[in-house]
Amino acid sequence: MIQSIINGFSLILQPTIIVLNLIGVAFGLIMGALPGLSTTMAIALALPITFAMDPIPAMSLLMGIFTGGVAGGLVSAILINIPGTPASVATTFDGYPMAKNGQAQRALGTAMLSKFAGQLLGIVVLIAIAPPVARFALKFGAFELFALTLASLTLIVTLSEGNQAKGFLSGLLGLILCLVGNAPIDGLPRYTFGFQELNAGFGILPFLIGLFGISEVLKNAEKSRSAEKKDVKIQVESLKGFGISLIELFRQGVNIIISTTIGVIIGILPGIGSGTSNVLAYMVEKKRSKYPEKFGTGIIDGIVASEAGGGGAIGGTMIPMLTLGIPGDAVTAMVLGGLMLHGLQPGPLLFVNNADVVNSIFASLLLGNLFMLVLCYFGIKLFVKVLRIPEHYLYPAIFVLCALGAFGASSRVFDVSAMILFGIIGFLMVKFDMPNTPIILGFMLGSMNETNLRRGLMRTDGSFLAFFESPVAAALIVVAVISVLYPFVKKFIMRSKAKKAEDNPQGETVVLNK
Amino acid sequence: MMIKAKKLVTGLLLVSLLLASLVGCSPSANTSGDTGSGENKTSDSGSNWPKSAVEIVLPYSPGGEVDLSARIFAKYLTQELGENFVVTNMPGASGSICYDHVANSDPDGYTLTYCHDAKIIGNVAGVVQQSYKDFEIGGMAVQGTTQVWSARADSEYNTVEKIVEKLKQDPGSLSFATILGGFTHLEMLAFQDEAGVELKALDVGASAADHLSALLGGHVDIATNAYTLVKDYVETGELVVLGNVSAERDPFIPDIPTFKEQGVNLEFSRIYPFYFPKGTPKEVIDRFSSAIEKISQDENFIADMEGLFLNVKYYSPEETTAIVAEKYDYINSFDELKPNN
Repeated sequence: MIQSIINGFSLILQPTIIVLNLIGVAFGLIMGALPGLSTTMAIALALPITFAMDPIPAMSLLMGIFTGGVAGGLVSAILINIPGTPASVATTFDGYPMAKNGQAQRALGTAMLSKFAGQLLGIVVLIAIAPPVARFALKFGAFELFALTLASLTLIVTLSEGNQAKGFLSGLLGLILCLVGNAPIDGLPRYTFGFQELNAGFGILPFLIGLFGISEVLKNAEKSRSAEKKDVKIQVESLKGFGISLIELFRQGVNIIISTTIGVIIGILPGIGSGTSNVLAYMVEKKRSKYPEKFGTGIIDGIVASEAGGGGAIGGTMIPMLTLGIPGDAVTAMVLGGLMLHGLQPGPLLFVNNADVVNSIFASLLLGNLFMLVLCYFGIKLFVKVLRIPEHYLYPAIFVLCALGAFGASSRVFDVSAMILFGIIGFLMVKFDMPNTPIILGFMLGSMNETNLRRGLMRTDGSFLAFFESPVAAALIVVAVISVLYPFVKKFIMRSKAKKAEDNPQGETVVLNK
Repeated sequence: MMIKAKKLVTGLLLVSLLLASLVGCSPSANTSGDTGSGENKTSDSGSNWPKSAVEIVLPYSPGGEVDLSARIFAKYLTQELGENFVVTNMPGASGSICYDHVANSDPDGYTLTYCHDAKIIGNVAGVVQQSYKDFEIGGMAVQGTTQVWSARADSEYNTVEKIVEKLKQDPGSLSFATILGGFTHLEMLAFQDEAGVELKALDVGASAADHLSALLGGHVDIATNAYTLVKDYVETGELVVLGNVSAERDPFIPDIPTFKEQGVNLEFSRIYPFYFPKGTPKEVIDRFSSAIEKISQDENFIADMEGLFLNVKYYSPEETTAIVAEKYDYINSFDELKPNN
């Protein structure tokens, strides 16, 4: 492992390659930070430029964009409550409240360091154990993926504790929205009402951009008309560096490791990437925490979990792409295309036949991660200035960027209309005090869940029981059932305990007297 | 402070505008409506085409061989015709979002699409509404014949003979990775017909990579893929190639026998035609097809396409139309492909 890192760095430590990496990181950061514009788009724009390059500089540029792009999303997530990329969705939950409390700089610093740590650990895992890990991931078939997405969906219950009805409604809305379009497997159009445009269903980007971006614009537009307009001018404490001490960061050590692990695992599995992993890491940390009630009010634990979870997925998604030639998400699919155009076919022999390219990819990722941190360190003061831009300038610009991002995903004007629709839905959800995480989870995991259920049933000729033949699937389904029932059982036990205490107050005294 | 903020905002707006132009919304689609209406539009658009950027709209996301080869075409067409050829990806609904967009674009030669046989198969299978008759075919310059079936080397059934024998005894006992209404489905149906056996179809996902992972992970017994994808695994001894589905051995992989040699009469190749909206002037089609004819003699172009394992051979629009029609009729003879079946 050390050998391959040294070899990789010896290949990329040339001025042009380093500069390309730095440019990539800077470009990725900007694209990631601008709401609406995603890492996928940044790579799509850079891909044609790399055609004329040698493979190693080309990969250095692309890896720079990858690390920078996934990191950039945290800036807008914290400062304006709009995740710049899907990898930073959960960062808004605690990041924005912190920014509102005047701790924007501290939130940014924490997020950046967590992202750095998450990406670093993810890349180390990639370098150390990529081939065996990828082999294991192959064993995940339809049964296991169905069970995994089902277990993840039940987190909606955990999420909406205290507000179950609204949480369920929100989750169901997400599930309903992902049904629109051609059905998996047989391609029958559903809920399209004869509109050809609806056949492709709703894209994930228009959905997320609308739900976060447009609804935020609408919220601010409403606020500007009301009397309380000027009161909450966000104050920014001026802090040195990242605004977080090393000791504070070390206290988050376990959180970072668990969240990164979630990120890596989710990243390795086919079809799910950093967009899901950051939300899942956030949930798990909330569940694990001794003070779950503080989550969402602006504590660093939430930011750390989200960013480490999103960052870990970078190494994770690269694993199956490099070792098996199987891309885990849209970004790695494009990187794969970039490799193929240079006559390199990722697969088990890439490590043998083109060890130089693989090692230089590792080194570029590590270098890109470092550049990301350095650029963020110097950029942090600049980013915070966004908060000083008058809202009547800021939000129209955001609206334009959002529309651009929604359009760019698949060059369809329809997606822009869909984005505005989701913006209105998001705005109404805020008005009715409905949590928006369940709808995101429902939408992102719903179609995967359904597709894999149907694939599984195709395999078993319609028998549900056969799903339990896979031990992994069976265990995950049991976890799902328990996590749905647990809150009710807990409530029931607590209620019956309380009832017992009421019914038999003397009984207790008797016990006490003994 | 205010000035600074204004500068920032202006900067932001500029960046967004810049990106708007980069992201690939080519201005071509609407220009003709404004400028060319009225006087001698047809002769104008024909003889002077192209006067501005031309958009090649693809039914797939970036990365696959359709996307990569389209970008190679775009590069050489830009050199040849002196205007920018821009590749736009418009994935979704088995490609029909893209085909619908192109079929309904102005027939002025500034919007076209490019795809392999999946378009024809999808049309027969009912997932794509637009038939080849809804387009003007602009010729083709590349074809592919490296689609191979493979199985795991440690499987008991790793030759065509053993597979046919097993399936004859126990129909449906071996599974095949496919997507209903796709190329893989068609290959499977043809194999079943020719060998007189029955496979078990399993949907494992749309991309070639999904099929490969399903085979490697042991979720299916047989999968079909481009040879480049399975090459490494054949060398490591993990997978074995059963046969090439094309009529003759492919020049890139002369050691791989065809199904035909092994007694199962499969004759599949992939064709990559260009499709213009119906009503595009003949002058445009002629100019375009002579451009790709010229490009197809360029050694660098041939080398670039060889990198993707694609054979370069030019067919005129008329020849291509005849090939597409023949393919359509053949595919249309499989009733199992069609909806409600």
